[in-house]
Formats: sequence, structure tokens, C-alpha cells
Amino acid sequence: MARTTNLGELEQLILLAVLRLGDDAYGVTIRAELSNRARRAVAPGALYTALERLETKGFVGSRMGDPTPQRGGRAKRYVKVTAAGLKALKRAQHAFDRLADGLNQLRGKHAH
Amino acid sequence: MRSTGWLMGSISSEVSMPTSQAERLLSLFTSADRASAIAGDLTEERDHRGPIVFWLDVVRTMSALWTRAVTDAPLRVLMLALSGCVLLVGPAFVGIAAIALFPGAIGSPVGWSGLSLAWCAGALWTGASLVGCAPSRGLAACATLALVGETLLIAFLARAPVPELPMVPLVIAYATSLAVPPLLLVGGAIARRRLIFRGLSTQEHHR
Repeated sequence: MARTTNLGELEQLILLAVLRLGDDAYGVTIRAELSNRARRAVAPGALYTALERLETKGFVGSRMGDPTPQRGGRAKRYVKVTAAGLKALKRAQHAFDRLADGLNQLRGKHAH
Repeated sequence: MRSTGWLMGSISSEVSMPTSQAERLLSLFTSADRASAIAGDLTEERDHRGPIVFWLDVVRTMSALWTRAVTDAPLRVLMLALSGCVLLVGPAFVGIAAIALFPGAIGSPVGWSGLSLAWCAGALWTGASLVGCAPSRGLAACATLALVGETLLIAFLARAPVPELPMVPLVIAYATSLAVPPLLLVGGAIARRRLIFRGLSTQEHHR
């Protein structure tokens, strides 16, 4: 049986935030983006476990940046969406669109 | 220029001490480089959010990483925890056997202290063994076993009738039983830190 590659809601939001941030996507900026854009206050623990899960599934890749004194000499871990992650995100978005199509409550349009 | 450099160094060391402590704690439940990055992120936010929120975030992140280790492979963690229970029995028997060699010590405070020492040492050894067998999930198993064990012990001690024993052995027995779960965790944490240090030393050697 194929391993599930479905995305949870938080995982989708994180992938979208990482795509928006481009090369500057790491823990602090991802949380700020989710807070500003999605109005979601994501706990650090929830974010880092989700990022670890996404990396295990192969949906994001990571690289270490340079250490800075403001971070106590620790490097940033930059994250980037992989091709597989983009594919999974598109699949999730299409599924959402198909389910939401024609629903008055969500779109404010009359049902077809 | 020199005084500015000294000031920057002083600020840097003020920032890096809690960061190092946070990194050590986080590395118990995730890889060394992830722990370093997470500690750095939390330090970066510490200026805006303050030290209390910083430490709350460290604890909550550790808790989330522990939960993930358990929920990702619950059967494996359960088997490790059960192995830990079995391993804990061994030192208890060793302690009893050692005390039995000196009939005069049986039931005395010295005998109880010896038994407590054997059991505490056994708890440290069990924690270290679990992490040695399963470096990635061993500490999660230790933490699970410690939490469940401590909860059951406190519930049992709160409800069980006080046995007819002299006061000193009773206190030693109760104190030992409550100390075993945290010592299990300490043993696991020490083994985990050694593994990380060995891994870093290996990386340095290969450079």
C-alpha cells in the first residue's frame, strides 16, 4: 500500500508560508508570516514538529545558514518547499476547491 | 573600539548562556543541529517576548517533540518502556541479594539505604541502556515510563495504608520509589548527551 502523502491543515499553511517567504523561510519568519497572514498564533513546538514531519515526508528541504550573535551564535535553519511538497500542496488545494465549489456559505455564490 | 568589542562580547555571552542550556535540553528529543536552530530561533524572539516566555517555549517545544516521538512510533516506544520496566527489576533483586549476604543488615536503616542505592543506580543504568539501544526514541520511552511510573507511585502512596514499619526505613523506601522515575530520565539524558558529543566528535575527526 502506498504511504499516505496527504497534508494536514497546519502543514498546508506552513508550506504556503514557506513559499511566500522564499529564501528567508526559517522558524521565526514562518511563525510571523502565519500570524500576520493567516491570523494563526502557532506555538513553536507545533511548528517545529510539523517542519520535521514535512522534511521526513520529503515535502521540504533544509539548509543551515550562518550563525549570528543575536541568536547566541546559532545558525538559522532555512527551509524550502520541494517539488513533491508543491505537488502535495496543489493536490490539497484542488481537493479543497472541488469540495467548496458551489457552497453558498463559503463563496457567497448561488449553487450551480 | 576595544570597549565596544568587550561590550559586544559581554552581551553575546549573556545571550548565549540560556541559549546553550536551551539547546542542551532540546537536543534530548531531536537532532543536534535542529536543537541548535530551534534554540537560536527562540533566542532571537527572546528580546521581544522576554525570558519567561523563552523558557515556557523551550519546555513546550520539548513536550511537543517528546509527544511526536511517542505518537510516530507508539508500539516501539511502548516496547522500550516495557523493556525498561523489566530492566528495573534486575537491580532491585541484586540489591536484595547483596543485603541478604549480611543478615544483620536486613530491615535496618543500613540495609534499606543499600537497597535504595542499588535501585537508584539501577534506574540510572536502565535509562542509559534504553537510550543506548534506541538512540532516537530511547529518551522518549524513558520520559513516558518516568511520567507514568511517578503518577502511579504518587497515586498508590496517597491511597495505600501505611505499613507497620519503623519510620526511617519507611521514609527511605518512599523517597527511593519516588526518586527512581526522575533518575531513569537522568540516566537517559546523560546517555543521549554522550551520543551527541560522540557524534560531534566523529564529525570533527572526519573534517
